[in-house]
Amino acid sequence: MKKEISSRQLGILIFISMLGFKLTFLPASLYKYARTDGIISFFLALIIDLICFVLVFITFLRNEDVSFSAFLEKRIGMFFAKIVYFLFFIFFIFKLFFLISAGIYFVKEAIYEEGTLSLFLFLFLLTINSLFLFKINAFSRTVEFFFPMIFFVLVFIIVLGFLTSNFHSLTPLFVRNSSEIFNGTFRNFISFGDFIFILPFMGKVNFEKIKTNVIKFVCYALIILSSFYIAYFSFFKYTAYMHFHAITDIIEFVPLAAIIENLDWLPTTLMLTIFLFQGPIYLFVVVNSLYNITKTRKFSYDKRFILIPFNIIFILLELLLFYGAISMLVLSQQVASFVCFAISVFVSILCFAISFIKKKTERKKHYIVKLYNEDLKWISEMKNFNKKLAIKKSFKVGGAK
Amino acid sequence: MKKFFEFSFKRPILVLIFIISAFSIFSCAIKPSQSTNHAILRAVGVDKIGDEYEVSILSFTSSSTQNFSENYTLTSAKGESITQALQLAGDYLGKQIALAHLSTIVVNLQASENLTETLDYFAREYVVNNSTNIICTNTTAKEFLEKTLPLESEDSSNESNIVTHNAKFVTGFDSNIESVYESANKPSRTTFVSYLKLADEGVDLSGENNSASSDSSGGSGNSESGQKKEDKKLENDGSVVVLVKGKNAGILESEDVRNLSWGTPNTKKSNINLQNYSDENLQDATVVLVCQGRRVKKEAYFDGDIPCVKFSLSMQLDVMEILQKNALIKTYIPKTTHFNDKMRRDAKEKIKSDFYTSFEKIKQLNADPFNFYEMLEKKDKNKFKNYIYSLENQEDYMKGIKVVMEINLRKN
Amino acid sequence: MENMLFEFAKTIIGENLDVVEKQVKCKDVTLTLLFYKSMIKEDYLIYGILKPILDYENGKDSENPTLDNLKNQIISTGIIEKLEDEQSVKKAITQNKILIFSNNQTDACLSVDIVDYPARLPQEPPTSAVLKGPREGFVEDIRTNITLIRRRLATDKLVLKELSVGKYTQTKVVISYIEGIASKAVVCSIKSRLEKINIDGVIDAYYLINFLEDKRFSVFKQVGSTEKPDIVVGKMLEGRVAIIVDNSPIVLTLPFLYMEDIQSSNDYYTNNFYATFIRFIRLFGIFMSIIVPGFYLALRFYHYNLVPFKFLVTIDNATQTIPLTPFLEIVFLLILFQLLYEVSLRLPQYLGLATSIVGALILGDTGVKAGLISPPGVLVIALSIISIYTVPDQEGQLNLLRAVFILLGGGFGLFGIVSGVVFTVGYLNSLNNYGAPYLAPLSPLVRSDLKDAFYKSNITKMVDRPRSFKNKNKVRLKK
Repeated sequence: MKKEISSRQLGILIFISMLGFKLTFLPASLYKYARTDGIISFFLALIIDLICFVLVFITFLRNEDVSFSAFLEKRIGMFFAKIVYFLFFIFFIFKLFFLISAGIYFVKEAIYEEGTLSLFLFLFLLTINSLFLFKINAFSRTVEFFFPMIFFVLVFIIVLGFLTSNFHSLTPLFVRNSSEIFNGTFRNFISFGDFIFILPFMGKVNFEKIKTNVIKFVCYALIILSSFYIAYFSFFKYTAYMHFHAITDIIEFVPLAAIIENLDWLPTTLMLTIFLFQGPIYLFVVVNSLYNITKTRKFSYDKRFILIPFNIIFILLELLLFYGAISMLVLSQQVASFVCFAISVFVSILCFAISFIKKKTERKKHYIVKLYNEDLKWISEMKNFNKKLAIKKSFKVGGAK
Repeated sequence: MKKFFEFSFKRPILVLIFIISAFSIFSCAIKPSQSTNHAILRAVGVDKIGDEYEVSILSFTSSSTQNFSENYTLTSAKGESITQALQLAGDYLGKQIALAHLSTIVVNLQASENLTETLDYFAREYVVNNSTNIICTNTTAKEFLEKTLPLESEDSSNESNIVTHNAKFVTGFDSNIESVYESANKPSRTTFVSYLKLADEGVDLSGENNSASSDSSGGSGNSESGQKKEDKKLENDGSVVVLVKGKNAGILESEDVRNLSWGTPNTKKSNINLQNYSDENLQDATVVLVCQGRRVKKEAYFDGDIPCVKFSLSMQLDVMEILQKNALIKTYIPKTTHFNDKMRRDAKEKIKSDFYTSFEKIKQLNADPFNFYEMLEKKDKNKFKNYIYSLENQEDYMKGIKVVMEINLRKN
Repeated sequence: MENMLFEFAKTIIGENLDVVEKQVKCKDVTLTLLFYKSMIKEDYLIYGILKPILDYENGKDSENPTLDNLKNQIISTGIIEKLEDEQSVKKAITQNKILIFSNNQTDACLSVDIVDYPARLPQEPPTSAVLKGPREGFVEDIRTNITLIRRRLATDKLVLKELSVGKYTQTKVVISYIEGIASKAVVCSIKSRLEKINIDGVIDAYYLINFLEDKRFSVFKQVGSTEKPDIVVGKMLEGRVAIIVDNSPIVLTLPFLYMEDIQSSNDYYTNNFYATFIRFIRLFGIFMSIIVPGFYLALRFYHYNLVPFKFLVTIDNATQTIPLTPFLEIVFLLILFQLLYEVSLRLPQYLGLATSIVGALILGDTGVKAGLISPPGVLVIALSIISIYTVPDQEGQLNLLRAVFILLGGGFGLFGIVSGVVFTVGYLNSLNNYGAPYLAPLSPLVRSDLKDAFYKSNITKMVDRPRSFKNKNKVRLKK
């Protein structure tokens, strides 16, 4: 299959998807349920997320040259594949909706005293749709371009946060009931579970150094998130509920901030950039899922046409629900988080399980591929796919030459 | 129309730029800057009078003199809630209230009785930084802001900087919205809030820098002219209001605050006066010693069932000044600059006695500024819980805690 | 006997002011010379053609001179070709060559190339000044340009392929590359694009740019251009293809990467660390030129809370009496500065001083004192305009981007600026010219090419040729 993005770019996309809401409202939301043990809820959710990631990543690695749709259809059949796509669609629609609402809310609170919803929505949707339309390789290169800046600004903010932290105040931990801790984990799971987005990227990634790169970027994200949460909870141990935008508040008490008066533009710009990158990732999966649900063997169409009705429905939903009785956050904690938890765990386990199911014809192909790779490595450089297939077939008949 | 759609699909970026340009030009060509129709507040004063709130706002007004002067206007309004009062004050000014540059909130003593309630609006308003300084005052907040108006434009001596100075050098405690709410939520539930008074002696507020101007508006709002020379002066002696669970528990005078500051590592400079000190070189002298490089270690432990906290101080004291009373000994003896053992012993005793005396006052107020609750709970949760449950009134846990101070004076 | 070729040539050459038809008798043969006198070097005509013919006339040889004799023995100057068909005669006329017809040989004629015209000497180009290093620049004469390149590339692998483009101008376009380094696919692609051009005339190299670009309606340049031979040779050694156009001092290079405009020839003739520092300054300059005015408007309209209070005091006091809104003030200042710029380009040098006095003192200072414009606005626009000239090759696109960001900042605030930056970078990443990602080596990250991207490392470390675009023979430095 044609490789569109490199393994480094995939690693960076995973890094970006691991951030997001975790740097804004999540700490305050964790405190609401688990109080001073909110950090424990966070690490618990992170562990569950990592387990799901490992399952998903193994699935990904075992299917180098296969697209996700082909993988599903061959293993479990078209009908069940469409169900899995439907689950993806639901999962990422929730996420996208929540991303846009939470992102707009964050921006409005942090730096815009006057700003209408329509203004943000227009720009947000415009940018993420444009990034989607530039196609996956241009989008992943864009994320790769901004990655050093995002990383260093994050490190800078965390270092500033550590300047005002007092690690002794982090303890004692485990003072709350386990039910409160678990409640904090599950009611906030909408901020987790993003890893399954890499499944639809199957077949599009260059596998050179993939393990090194992906593990490297996952480790970066874990270190940054862990240090952020440690710095945050050690300073705002008892007042975390007041700080709904963690990344801007963590640097509020730094002496440097006092001199310049307001460093809010730095974390706000960072979060805007991260939201603008998460949006196209979710959009990619949503559009792909919808396309795979609606296409048939005889009927296929340009995926870009999905964007038009999708955007219209989205705008209507935002306008109806944003100022509605149920705020997005409450909705996420009551319904969406449990749905997200269920889907991310179910899909991870399912895909992992079915990657071990092999049909007879596939076993043969695997044998042939193995021979072809070991004995005739130079053929892998040939770009003509038909030639490759012809040579494979010739081996199939007579065995190894 | 068809051509337009064809053109749009071929050159989408051009169409986009056109739409953005049209929107931007129409929206911002005639739009004034935000600070034109916003009243940028630097300080807010909250007075609770009965069940009503009177809010006084100190807003910056721009002038076209093109120098770097800062001009302020003081406006007041009353309302049943702070939100209402602020909105009214804004209406009187004819502008929207802008709180992003708020540096100080001044409250009177009545408002400080339940400070978390008073500050609720400001805590919820995201644009107000939680690092905004809180000041309690003996008079009304309105009078305080009026009298300190001339100081506002002086960067080095305005009240916000005074509070920051106190936090660093005097009390060792921040006095801001964050610390107030932290004290309301944490188990030890105590913090100190700066208490600045308007008194007969203090910083002279009248003078040539009085650039206050005022507007008067109708209704229940009023504003004052700050041109008169008044007798009242700003006094910062380091006294604080003790907040327990977000409520005013009492006032701690400056001497007690300074004595207690021995227990915090944050305050940078402290000094001790040894009165009527005599040794082989001095007789009835007043020796002023200054502390350098103070390290404080607090350790919680249980002596049987009695919770105890030990303060271990390690510091270096230097002789700063010697005031000789005895006129007979006028010769300047270099040896008296040396910090000898007697001086060391006397200094230790003085620090301990001052600290214990002031600490008793804290105990009377049921305040726990040093977070003994958390320390003891961390040390031995079960024993501490037993201790707490054994008390008649669990809020009075401070009274049963034994405090010991050990001082190690490092040699020069 | 009628000389059909001669009649044809006469109809082509026409009856113009500078047409000369000269007849020279040599033995029994009458030779007719037909040429444009404005396009030849007279000395070569006299001493290289006429004198040898006259010498032959007076010589001992009694045979009549044939065209072959003239070509091989008699005429001693220029490139001589024997033409036998009308098409080549027409081409020779359009190339301003001298045609020599013989009355005893009507089936052919000779063309002699002694074309000469006034041409500039190589000088330092104004936009690529260096402190130390070569100061030669390309000129309008293609022969001189080729000489400048060939002098620096003393190799048999240097390939120069000539094409003619333009129906009326027949402009010579030379594709130049180093065989064994440049990618053949790129060369073939460029050649085929140039051959497909069916245009009336090519006046300058810039006429060809739109034909060579992948995305024709893009604001961003996709073809490299330079006026310095050392830069062209450096790029050819990396595997790029150079396109030299007659009558143009600009030489085009392909494939083009954005980072090339950040690099300057000065970087290679100075200390590495200083060169790295200067590259960062250029990047900062690009950022300042695009973002600062829009950011200023965003702060004034939406984000007063982000401005430190002291700055807010200064800005508010300074803009108190300005009758224009911030947006109109910025637009007005921008137009004012652009007018000054245009005027300064076209004014004679002796009026330049007066312009700077008018612009700086009267418009700037007096405008501020009169309360029409504010000092912060003047500062912001001046900073932006000066910053553009850290990278003069990108002047046009940076100017346009600045305008877009002013609209985004004024209309949408900080969010608009961030979205604009992300969109712009996304768009740049979607540009691929001749297989080279536009923002390489930053995205996609090509570590080996970073040595000459943001930072300039030691030349001893630049072992490999750039991997950001197609080329062959990857090793250029053997240790």
